[in-house]
Amino acid sequence: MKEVFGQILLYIRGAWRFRWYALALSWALAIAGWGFVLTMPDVYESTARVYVDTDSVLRPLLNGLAVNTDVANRVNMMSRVMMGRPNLERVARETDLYLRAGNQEQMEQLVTSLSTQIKLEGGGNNNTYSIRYSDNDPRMAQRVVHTLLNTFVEDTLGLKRQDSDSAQKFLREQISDYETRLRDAESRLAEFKQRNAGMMPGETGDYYARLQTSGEALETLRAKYRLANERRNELAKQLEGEEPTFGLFADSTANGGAESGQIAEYKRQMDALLLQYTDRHPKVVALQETIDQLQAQQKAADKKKRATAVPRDPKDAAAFALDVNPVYQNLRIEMSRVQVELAELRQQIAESEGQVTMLKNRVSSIPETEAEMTRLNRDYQVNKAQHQALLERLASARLSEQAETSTEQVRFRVIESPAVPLLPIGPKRGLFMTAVLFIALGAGVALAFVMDQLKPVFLSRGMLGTITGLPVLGAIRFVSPTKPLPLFRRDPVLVGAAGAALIATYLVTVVVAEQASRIIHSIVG
Amino acid sequence: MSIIERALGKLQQATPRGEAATLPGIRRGRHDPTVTDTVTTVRPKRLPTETIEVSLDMLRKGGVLAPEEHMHALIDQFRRVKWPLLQSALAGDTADSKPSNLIMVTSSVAGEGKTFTSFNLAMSMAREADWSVVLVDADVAKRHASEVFGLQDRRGLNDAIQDNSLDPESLVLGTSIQGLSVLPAGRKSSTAPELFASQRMVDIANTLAAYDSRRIVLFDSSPLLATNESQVLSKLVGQIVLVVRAEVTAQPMVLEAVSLLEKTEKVRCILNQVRASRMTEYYYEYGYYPNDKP
Repeated sequence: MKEVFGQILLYIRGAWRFRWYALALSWALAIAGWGFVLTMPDVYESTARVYVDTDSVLRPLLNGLAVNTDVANRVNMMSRVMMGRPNLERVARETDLYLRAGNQEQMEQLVTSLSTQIKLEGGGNNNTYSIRYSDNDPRMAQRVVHTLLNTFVEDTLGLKRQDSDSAQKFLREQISDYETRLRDAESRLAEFKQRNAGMMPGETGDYYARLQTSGEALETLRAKYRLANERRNELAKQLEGEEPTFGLFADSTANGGAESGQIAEYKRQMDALLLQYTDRHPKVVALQETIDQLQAQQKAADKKKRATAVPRDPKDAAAFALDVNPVYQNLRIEMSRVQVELAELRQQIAESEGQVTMLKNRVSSIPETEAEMTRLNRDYQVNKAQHQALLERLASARLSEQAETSTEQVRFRVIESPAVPLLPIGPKRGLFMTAVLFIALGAGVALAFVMDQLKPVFLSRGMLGTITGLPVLGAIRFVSPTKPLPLFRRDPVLVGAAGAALIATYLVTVVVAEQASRIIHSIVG
Repeated sequence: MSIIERALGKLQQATPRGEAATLPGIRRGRHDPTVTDTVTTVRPKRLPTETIEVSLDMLRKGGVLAPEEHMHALIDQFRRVKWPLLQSALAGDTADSKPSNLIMVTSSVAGEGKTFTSFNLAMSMAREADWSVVLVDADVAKRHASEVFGLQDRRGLNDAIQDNSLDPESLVLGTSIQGLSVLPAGRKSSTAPELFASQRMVDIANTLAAYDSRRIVLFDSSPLLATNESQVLSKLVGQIVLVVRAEVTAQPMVLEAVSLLEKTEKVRCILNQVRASRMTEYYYEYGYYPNDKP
């Protein structure tokens, strides 16, 4: 213990050599520090108190889970809601706080500092929170709190609305989408109907009926044809059975007269027909055939006659006579007529068959069309149904929004509006100045010790012996050649006085800190 | 015991001369006119020399003596200091045959109190009945000791060095203080410093030593780090006393000065101007442990 004490004394003794340096440093630091503290600008704090039913705010966030009643948690979540970065950025902009930042980086720092400096407290059972913010400018402090509050109010109230807004937006988009689809479906349907007119489900009866009619017509025609055919056959038979009682003369005039009379007759008929029809008409064609036939016959007969100018055999004469037989002629006329008819009928049958075939084809494709029709219809119906549903949803969303906003107001209330503080809350100058004092004194002492370590001397015979390694004869005590100084001029006293002066200055400065700082501020500006 | 016998012997020797039989005292008063020109002789070899008047006031003025009120303590302290020195002086020549009654008082730098120490040491030794002291001012540059006595212009060491024929003993002056004689620095010379290293110096030293084995030759020399002379001188003497001023002289300096001295020398230290209260002195001893007590 003694050794330790001795050591300590040695250190003190050694440091004492540099007492004036220590004092100088202490004074310098103290003056500088106090000066700085006095020039520190006042800090003002603005407070707002609000009542928030946090559950109402947090419920959408918690999404139906059990609401945690832990207060700290609630405050936490509240502050996250309130002081999210975009929020704070907005606050910084609206309060012109951002004017203090020079560049992007400083802006970021500003926002970060905001998030730490804005204090949100409370959240007890009564759901009251207080929001505090301090700043050198009292007006700015108030502005920040005020803006934050406003932002929060808008945000939380708007939270729900925003949600339903977005929902409604979504619905509206969907609705317009479906409208488009609906229109498309309609137009497709219409086009389809247009394309397949008469084949529509309601109208298909027509086709079947037509098919039937056509079939019947065809049958009729065929029947007619058969009849006509039979008649022709009959006629043919009859024609062959008739004995030729007609003139034997190979003179063609009577024959020719009869035939040519026939031909002329036919030609007259042909002319009449040609007035009505083209030469493609079956009747015309048939007639032409007949005429040609007759003409050919006549030619052949003429040839024959000429070939056998002599009186012919009775066959020829018979033939010839046949030619002028009016019954025969009638038969022949009848035959021609029937042939024409047949030709006609053949044409008609062909036509009818064609029609029937066509109708048959058409008819067979009706089920396809029907199916297509059904599909398009269904499409349309489905779209329509969706569209309707969306419309209903939109209506209901609107309703619910209105219902909720009307009750929202109650869940948030500002109890105390942030005011522009008149009196500063800080800085705690007294505290700082005391700290400065201690630091100054400490620094001074430290300096003395350090200097002692840097310039070591011998303080005791023991030290001398140990460090030099030589034997020490003894220690001679200091003898002052002159009279000792009076007490008040002795070093320890002086040093003590200097130290005491320092402390006295400190006390005085602390007392007048506020006034002094004000004066300094008015000078510095 | 032997000291008393010797003292009696002196008396007996002195008595036939017809002088007043007085025990050798510390000092003779300045009022005694008979003393000014005579020197009490102890040995027959002693040559008649001059004696100078020395008063305590003179010494105080010179700054080598403490005021009255501190004298007692000072005397006490120096008494303690001198004993080891005297003991060693009795031991005869050192291992490397240097006379151990040659003691050099030096320091690392100036202003540590060499002269002060030399004077007080000399005075303290002079008080010894068995011993006498010749204080040699070997600080030929500063010559403080000579100045104190007012002998700065007198012939002294310098002269003896330069003049081979000069017997150093003849330059030694007696003082009114019993047992104390002085050899001044001598007249200023530019060549003397170099001559310090010469054989002549060795001879002078030896001569001084040989005169009386009971006479301490105390060299008040210059600081070791200041000049070369003390370093040279250190090789000639049997004992070295290193004066260190407390709280002022930097440790490295002292260590450097020590390094200039040969390891075979008998070097011892004195811590001078220690400022202390009783309490701190009590505790000081325990700041460090001295590793060797004389």
